Amino acid sequence: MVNSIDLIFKIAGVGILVAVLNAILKQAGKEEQGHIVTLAGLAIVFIWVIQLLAILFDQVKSVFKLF
Amino acid sequence: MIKLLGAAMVVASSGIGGMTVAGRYSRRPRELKSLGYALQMLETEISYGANHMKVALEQVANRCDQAVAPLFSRAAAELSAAAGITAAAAWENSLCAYYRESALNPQDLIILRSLGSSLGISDRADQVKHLNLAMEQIKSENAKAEGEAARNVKLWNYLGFLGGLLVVLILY
Repeated sequence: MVNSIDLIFKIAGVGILVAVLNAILKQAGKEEQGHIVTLAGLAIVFIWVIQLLAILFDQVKSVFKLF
Repeated sequence: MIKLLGAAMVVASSGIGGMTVAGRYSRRPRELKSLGYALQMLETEISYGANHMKVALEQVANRCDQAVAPLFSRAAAELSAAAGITAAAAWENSLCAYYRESALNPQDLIILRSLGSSLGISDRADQVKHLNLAMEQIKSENAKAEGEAARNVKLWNYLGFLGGLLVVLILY
């Protein structure tokens, strides 16, 4: 449980940093790179979250005996 | 503990990297500006002083900004040291050495190189013409460099530190 709280803070941190980076890149006229950074942040967070989602699906399957 | 130390090192190194890039962007307009002034002094030395190339270069090196002085002092030293070397060759050698330590672009190098090939081989009016051309080109490069600096200095300063923080956060 402690681990998943850590994960939430990590995701929040990535969100803040990506938001700031995006604002700076946009202000410097590099909007394409800003989009790339946003997309990269999204992908990284998804990689973390998908592992937990897989556990959730396994639990759902085991509850309803869907094996 | 060791993890924290590594995180601090990653943030510090990427931050220093970003600041180095930002420093290059902010140094270039300053160098171009003082290079323009120095060329103006050289023009004065050639057209009104009518000095020898060596003396003219030394005078400019003594009076111009510290950032560009090595270019002129080295060319003067080469001219006085190696007997028989042309002003163009001395300028070229000095330019190669100076370019490595400066924040100049390849375009700036081309401008200065084409100036060097006409230095000290023709009459005053012709040299003044070439110097004026180089000054105009440097002025336009300077305007471009200032625009780039205004956009990129802040960007790279932030980008270094934030990139380091992001890497630390992802790997922690």
